[in-house]
Amino acid sequence: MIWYYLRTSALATKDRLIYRTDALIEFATSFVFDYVKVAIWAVVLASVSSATAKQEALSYMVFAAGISSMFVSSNVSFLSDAHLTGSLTALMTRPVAPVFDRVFQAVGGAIGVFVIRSVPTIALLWLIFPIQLELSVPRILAGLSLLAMGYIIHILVVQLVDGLTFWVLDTFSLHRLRDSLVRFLGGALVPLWFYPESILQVIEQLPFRSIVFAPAAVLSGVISVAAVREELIRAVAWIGGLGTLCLAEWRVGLRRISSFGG
Amino acid sequence: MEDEAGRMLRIYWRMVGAALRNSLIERHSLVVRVAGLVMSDVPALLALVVIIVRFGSIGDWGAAEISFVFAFSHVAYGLRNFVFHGFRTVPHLIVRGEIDMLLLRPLPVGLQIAGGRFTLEGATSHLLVGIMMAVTVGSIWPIQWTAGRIALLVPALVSSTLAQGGITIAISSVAFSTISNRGLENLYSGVREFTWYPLTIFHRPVQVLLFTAIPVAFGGFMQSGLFVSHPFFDQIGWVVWSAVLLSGPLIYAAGFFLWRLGLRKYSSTGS
Repeated sequence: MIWYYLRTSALATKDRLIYRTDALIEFATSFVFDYVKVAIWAVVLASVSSATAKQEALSYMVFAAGISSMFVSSNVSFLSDAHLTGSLTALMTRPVAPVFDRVFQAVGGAIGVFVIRSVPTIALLWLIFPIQLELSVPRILAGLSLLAMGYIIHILVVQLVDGLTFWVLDTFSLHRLRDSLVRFLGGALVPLWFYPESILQVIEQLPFRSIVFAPAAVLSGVISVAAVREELIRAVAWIGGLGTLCLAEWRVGLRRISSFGG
Repeated sequence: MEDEAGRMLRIYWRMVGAALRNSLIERHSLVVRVAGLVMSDVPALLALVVIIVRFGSIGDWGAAEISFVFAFSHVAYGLRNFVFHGFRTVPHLIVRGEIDMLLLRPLPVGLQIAGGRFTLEGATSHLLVGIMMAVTVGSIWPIQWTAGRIALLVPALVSSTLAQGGITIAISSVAFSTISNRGLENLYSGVREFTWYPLTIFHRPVQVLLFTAIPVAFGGFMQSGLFVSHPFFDQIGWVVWSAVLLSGPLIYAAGFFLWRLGLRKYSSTGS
């Protein structure tokens, strides 16, 4: 059965890479957003006296911009759409679990987006802004591991919000709230160490920092490779907890589905 | 001529009224959707507040100037959505053959689209974000309001709205030739992001682009210069300021010309 899901993932990756014009337009659009973010920080950090702090923050923002572009524009409200249109019951008749199917599709799509969007974004921003990258193989491996875990956490959070469709039907606003929280509390817009202590204490209790901040901080050198273990443990714990919540929500939510007609 | 213009205006407001009553049928859904759309812009607003509180400025732009530019641009964009949002649906109308139906009616197609496709959601979300910025940050770091600046507020907003509307209409008119203008539409969504911030903080080639090929600089940033004090704006004389206020109607006229051209060359998709 796992081979089916892996094949779904591979097809989703291929799907992302096959429409080159669409991919180019999507990259150009998201690059503008990312350039704006980093350009603002480049000007803000010019007033910072410490050259090391300046480099660290700017490098972090470049990686954060590239990583956060992975989380944009995916069909997140799959459950909500399926529930509203009634196609959820049709999906339930298939011999595959709709949620797992969707998760593996999302992962496959993310790999494609990473190749066509994140990597070129980081490369272009590195050329435009004067940052020094000190990438080593351990750092890259650690960063990519945290990125993979961060993306899984993101998918689980999306599924958790989407699963609320069994209770509230339309999850449009809840997804917007979710996206806002990931961007603001996950370090996609502001390096987390610039936040006041009160906000940092809230961020520590939430999974969002593992989505963007952790991989970006490791890749940019803000978090040393030696300290990566703590981030990995945190990410694994959140994956376990959120995964359990998603499964429980799915089981309870399924009991609420009613469908009629033929 | 005046009677005709008055008649068109009355018809426009009637269509807007009908669309408004339609969207208010399910008020709960409307409120929820507006709240969701506001959520999309709140992170950018909060991030800007964090930067202002932590660093006090972005380059040589102070807190008052940055917050005013952000608020003004959002309000202008919200107003643009009020009037011109319907033009974003032109590709869908072409594919479904609805443009053909609009062409048969004894009313200008643009008027029918602007009035009939009016939606409250997109307009109110940006307006709300702009007002939130003005009320929160703007009250802490206010700009200096003079009688002259108060008098110029409405013309400046109208000019910004017309500039953004002109660009929207120009982009939508591309659909008459290409059917789909999704790429251009998406690019404009990205480029519009520049207008929330002082444009001089970006690289020089980007600034040149935003003042010429894609003139979003006149969609809020330049008009906001009438109200803030900054060396970039202080060197501008009254002749150039007059040209800035006129830029909105001029860009709108250019967009409208492209619209008329596209409509003349339009041939049905046969749906």
